[in-house]
Amino acid sequence: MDRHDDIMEYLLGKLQEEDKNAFEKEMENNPALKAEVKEISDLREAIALEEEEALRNDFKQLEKGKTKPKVFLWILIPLVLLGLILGSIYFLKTESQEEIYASYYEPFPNALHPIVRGETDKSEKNQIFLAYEAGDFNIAAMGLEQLLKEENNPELRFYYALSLQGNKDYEDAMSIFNELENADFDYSSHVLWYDVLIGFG
Amino acid sequence: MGNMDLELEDRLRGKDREAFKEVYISYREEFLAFGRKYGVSRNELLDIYQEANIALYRNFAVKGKKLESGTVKTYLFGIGKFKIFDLLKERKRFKQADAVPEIPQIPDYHPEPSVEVRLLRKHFGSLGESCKKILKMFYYRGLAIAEIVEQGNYKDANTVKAQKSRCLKKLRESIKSRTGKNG
Repeated sequence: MDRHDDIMEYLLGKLQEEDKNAFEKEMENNPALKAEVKEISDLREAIALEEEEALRNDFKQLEKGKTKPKVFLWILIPLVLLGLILGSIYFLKTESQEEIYASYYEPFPNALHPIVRGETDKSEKNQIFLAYEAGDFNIAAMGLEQLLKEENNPELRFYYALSLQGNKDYEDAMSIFNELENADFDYSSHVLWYDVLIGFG
Repeated sequence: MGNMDLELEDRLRGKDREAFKEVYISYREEFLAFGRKYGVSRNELLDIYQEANIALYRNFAVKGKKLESGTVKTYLFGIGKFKIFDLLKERKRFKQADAVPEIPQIPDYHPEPSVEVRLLRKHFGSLGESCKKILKMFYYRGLAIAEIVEQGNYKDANTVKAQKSRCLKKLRESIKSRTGKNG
C-alpha cells in the first residue's frame, strides 16, 4: 500500500497532534514504514543541502555584480565629470576656480555610520559622525584622526579625507585621496571625483 | 506585520529562490552599516550576512518557520546580530567595563548532516535534471500529483508516478553500486 501521502503529511508537519502521535506509534511497530520515512526524510534533507548550495552561489553572483563597477565606468564617470568642469571653465571664462569648486562641491553623505535620530549613543564614533553630518568638519577631522589610530581602514580614511576637504585642508585631503585611489573598498568609485575637484579648491 | 511581509513569508516557506535573493539585496546595505558599529570588517560582515541568509532559508524553506512576532527583516537581523556577537566574543572584544549588548534568542541551527544524507546528496547531485526536478517536486516541495502534472507540464498522473519511481530506483541503485550494499 502506497503510504507516500501519509509520510509527506507527517514530514511536512501537517498532521494534527493526535494523528501525528498515532503515526509515530505505527512506525514503532512497522519497521518497513519507519525505514521508508527515514529514507524520504534523508532525501528531503539532501535536496535541501543542494538547494542551499545553489542559494550560496546566487549570493556570490549578487556580490560579484556589486563588488566593482565595470572598469570602463571607473574611467568614464570621472572623465565625464572632468569634461563638464573643463567645459565650464572654457565657456564661462569669467568664473574663478573657487566658484567652479563651490558649484560642484557637495559633502559626501554619511553612509558609513548613519546616525539614528533620537539615539542616545554617546560613543566617540557617534559624536564624530554627528559632527560630520552637521558640517563641523574640523571636529570630525580631529575625531577621525584619533579614531584611525585604533581602527585604520579605507572607509574611515576616506571620511577623514572628506572632513579635511570640508575644513579646506586641501593638501592633506588630496594626499589621502591619492593613497586611496587604488584601494578596494565600498566608496572607491568616489575617490577620483573628490580628488579631481580638490584641484579647483 | 503588514500584508506584504506575510506574502514574503509565504514565498520564503514556498522555497521561492527569487524571494531569498530579494531579501538578500533589500537588507544588505543596512546590515553592513549596522555591523560596522561593532568594528567588524566589511568582508567578515559579508560572510556573516550570507550565513544569516542561509539560516533564514533553513528556517523558512526547510522547517516552515512561521513568525509569531516581528518581520522577516527583524528575524534576519536577529540572526546576524547573534553571529556578530559570537565573533566578537571569540575575539574577547567585550571588556568588563563595556555594556554587554543583550544577546538575542538563538534561532534554531541546522545540525551537521548524517553520513546517509551526505551520501544521498552526492548521488542526487549526479542525477539528470529531469529526475532531480521530479524528485524535488515530490519530496522537497511536497506537491500533490495533480500539481506536479500542471507545474511540470507532464502528460498525466501515470506519467508522473512512473517517472518518479524510475528516478527513485535510479538513485537507490546509484548508491548501492557505490557502497556495495545489497538491498
